[in-house]
Amino acid sequence: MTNENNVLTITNLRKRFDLEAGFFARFGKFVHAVNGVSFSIGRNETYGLVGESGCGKSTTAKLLVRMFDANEGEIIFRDPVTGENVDVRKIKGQDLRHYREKVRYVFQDPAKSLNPRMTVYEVLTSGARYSTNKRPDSVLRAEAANILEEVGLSAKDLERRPTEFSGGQRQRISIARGLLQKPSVLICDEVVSALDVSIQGQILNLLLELRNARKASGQEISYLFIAHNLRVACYFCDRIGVMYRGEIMEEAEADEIWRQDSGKSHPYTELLFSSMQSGDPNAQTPKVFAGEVKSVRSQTAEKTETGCAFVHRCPYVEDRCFKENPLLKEVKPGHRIRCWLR
Amino acid sequence: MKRFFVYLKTRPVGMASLIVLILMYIMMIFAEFIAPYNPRTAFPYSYHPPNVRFVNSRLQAQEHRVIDTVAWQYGAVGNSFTPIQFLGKGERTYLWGFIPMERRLFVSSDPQMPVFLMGADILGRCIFSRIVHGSRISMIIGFVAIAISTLIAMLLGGIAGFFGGKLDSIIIRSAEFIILIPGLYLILFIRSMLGVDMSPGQLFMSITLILAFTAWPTGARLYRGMIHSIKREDFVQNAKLEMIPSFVIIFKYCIPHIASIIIVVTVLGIPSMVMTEVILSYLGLGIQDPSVSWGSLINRDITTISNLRNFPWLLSPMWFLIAFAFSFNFLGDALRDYLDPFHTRKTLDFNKFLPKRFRKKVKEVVACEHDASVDAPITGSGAEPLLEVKNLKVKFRLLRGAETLVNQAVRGVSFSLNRGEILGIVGESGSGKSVSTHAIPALLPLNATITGSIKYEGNELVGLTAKEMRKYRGKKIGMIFQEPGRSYDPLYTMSKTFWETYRNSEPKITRAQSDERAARLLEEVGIDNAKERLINYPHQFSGGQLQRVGIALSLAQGCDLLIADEPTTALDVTVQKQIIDLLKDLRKTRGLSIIFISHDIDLVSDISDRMIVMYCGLMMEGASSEQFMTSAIHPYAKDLLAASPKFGNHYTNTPLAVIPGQVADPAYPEPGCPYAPRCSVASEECRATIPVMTAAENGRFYRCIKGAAE
Repeated sequence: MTNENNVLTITNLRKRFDLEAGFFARFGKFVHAVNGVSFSIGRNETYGLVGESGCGKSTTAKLLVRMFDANEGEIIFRDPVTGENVDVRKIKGQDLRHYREKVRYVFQDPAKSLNPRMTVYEVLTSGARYSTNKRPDSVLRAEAANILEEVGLSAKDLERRPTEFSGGQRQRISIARGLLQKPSVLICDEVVSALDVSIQGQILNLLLELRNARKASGQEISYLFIAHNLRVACYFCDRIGVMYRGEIMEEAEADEIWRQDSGKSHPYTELLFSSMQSGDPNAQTPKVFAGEVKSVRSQTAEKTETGCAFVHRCPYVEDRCFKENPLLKEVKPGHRIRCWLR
Repeated sequence: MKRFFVYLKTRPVGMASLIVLILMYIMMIFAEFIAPYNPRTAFPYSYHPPNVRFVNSRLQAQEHRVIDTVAWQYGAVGNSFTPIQFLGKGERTYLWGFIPMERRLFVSSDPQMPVFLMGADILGRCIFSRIVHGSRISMIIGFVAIAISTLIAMLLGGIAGFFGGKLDSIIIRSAEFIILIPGLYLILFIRSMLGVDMSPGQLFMSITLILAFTAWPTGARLYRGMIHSIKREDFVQNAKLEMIPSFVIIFKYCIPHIASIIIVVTVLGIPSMVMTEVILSYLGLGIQDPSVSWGSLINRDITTISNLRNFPWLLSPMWFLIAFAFSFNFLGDALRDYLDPFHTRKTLDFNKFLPKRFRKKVKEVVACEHDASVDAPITGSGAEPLLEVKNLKVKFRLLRGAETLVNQAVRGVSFSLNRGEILGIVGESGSGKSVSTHAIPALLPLNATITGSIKYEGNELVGLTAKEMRKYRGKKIGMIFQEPGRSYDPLYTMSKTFWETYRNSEPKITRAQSDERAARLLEEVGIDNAKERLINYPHQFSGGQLQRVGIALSLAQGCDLLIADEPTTALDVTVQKQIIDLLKDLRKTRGLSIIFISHDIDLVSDISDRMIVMYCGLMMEGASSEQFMTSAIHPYAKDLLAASPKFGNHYTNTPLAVIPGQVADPAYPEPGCPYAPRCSVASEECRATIPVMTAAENGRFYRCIKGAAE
């Protein structure tokens, strides 16, 4: 499974949350947030995860940096520099620290994720101070100044505080913070969702420029781009996985996923994209698509639901869909769909 | 710190408190100099009354003689005065225990005739001197005890909140155990265990530690709760991901974040510490002779009621205590208001009563006051408009430090809305789109001033009283908000929520009638099993359903105009589509007029007939949605369209156009066209004055001097 061209390979990842914890818990209320997710991120690639809120895309990202520990599955990180394979779920201590420097997580809202009481310099270097690769202050300062200039701010901004910057600039600082340790993967969790349209483009282009620049200098960087805005995801990503209730329903090239003819893509993807397409002002969503996302719950630690996750909203259901969950099968090279009917 | 003093100038009580406290602490520090006598110097006059008089335009001490030695009654001797000497020579003493000193702030010029500013006690010792010296122990004990207890509370609360789990249980349960025992009993119990034979120094230390020990649990619980919630904040999570050591995270990330609360709690805790010390000393368990504290002064002297009646000056230490406690409380209040920007107080506007010359200056940003009366109002083609907004301006008065700043959120907006029309308003954050529409039903905070005219069916809405406005709110003008979950009382069932709404217009409606109507409405907006669902609480509905209920509620009183302020921003795309379809349906079936506000251009163009783009409090362009999407005129609108990706664009084939710069700050607007700094075609002319809204053919409007040329 571990391909030389992949940085991260995720196999059958599962995570359930225990809804009740503590002294008075009556055991047996679980939410299955991620149910057997498998995908891989290639070198120098942008992989997009899209889906509605509660589909498990953020949880998946947090599992990757071990903010939560997965219940099942495997995460293999292949260091593009050394070519070493790391089993992410098993590492701890200094190895975990090193891994987290290589796979960085950038938060959605920079107003919340940057400590308002620190200067930009402190924010950028706070992690590097405890890094596996310790550098003296003077080196750190030079690095921080370089990285700030790379993201389009100036070295003078090091002494200012995050609150003095506008939303877009703060997101730049947030990205700079992610880049300081020269990571191989940057996990961008809704990084442009909180920004105004006019700023969003700046950040997207910045990320693209950074990737090109890093590729040219031999430090390849991949992105895991999580978004709910399909237009942005389709513009920015190379490949996209569509998630629904903790499972990947469809995976394809970004260029391809939006333009499929009806009947060739997963019904959920169809629903998502038909909700976004404006055009005929009198077009109505088919009533069969009514309803909203429900979380996957169970009384036991095992998922009790059988059948396809989308079965309660799908207009094309058959008997088989209720009984058995389809596998993610390849319909075309690089295009996988989880549906009995496609 | 400097900003705090600037702020304090607007809080006279807080300022006075600070001054009182500073004076008291100066008194404490220079006690030997300020007190005329040493605390233990005794004169042969028991219960001597205060004897300072103002005679012959100077302060003098009057001689008193004992009339009755049993009751210690004194009589003033008519003409026997001793002048009081300022900075005169008094008893020899050591300032701070080691600097020899003879000068006192004031002494009697005759050593035989002492000056008793606040009388003397049973042993003939000057009470004022004793209070001044006693303040050392009382005021220091408060500080030291609170410092120790805050440190313990921060440490234990921080650990408990941050790590959670078993450690949390152990710390918090033991803290709760201590809180459970009534404070005074606990203090007395611990004090009685320590025995009585202690040197003054030991006594002082042990009392301080007892006070600290009994006070930390409350603080620890408070801080634990806060840190428990802060540790989920992104910036702490981020620090955790960077694997910064936990103690660094607690003390460098979490604690500074709640520092403001800790400061306030600490400041408010000082007087209670001092009070407890007073209680202890009063009970004879605290500071004892020969040391003095305010508590021991009260203990020694106020032994019987008759004493108090005959020698009221014995109460003097109380006045110091009260002044001290109140000052700290008022200062704590001012601190809390200063540190908590969301805490708004309605204060009396003293400015109004002052003569013009003394009034506080209001700093107003007038650099770009826009005369909107020359603007062409953005109108549709319909005959008679339902809503006409003309030259609407909204200003917010903000308190920044000691000066008031005026922020122009809306700088002259004119448009009209026809019956049965959906008007979309697009804009980025801070563009004034929400403020200008919230002004229609006057749903703005108290610090907002609305000028201009808003006409609903020809009736002026600006300047209506709250009571008159109620005829429109809900009944004529409905509103739905961004987060449907927050617009409901979580303790009301839907049935009760609807009943309350119906009773607003029909006070006599029965519950059954209201339920029936509500069920019909809910069905209309697409909620299944409407009747059964009426007994449900808001949390039992999903976000999309709640937004449907919100629409139903605004229709309940039969409104004609629905203002939808980002109603789908918090919803998923699939649900968003359902809500948009519902709104379109309602327009058809009910002839509803809708103002739809969003930052999403594609969405707004999808739902609305006409749309308006706002930027920095001004309307930039107005056109029908179709015209707008195909051929926008204003550079801002064009750039905005180009900057949002479309399906079919991919970074490999079409690079995204980028608008340089930042969204303008509405608090400090540029003098010219607000978009000029970011505009690619802007010239000097654009930066000089705000262009006028121009009407073009086909019902198009734009605010740009370049637009016409292209």
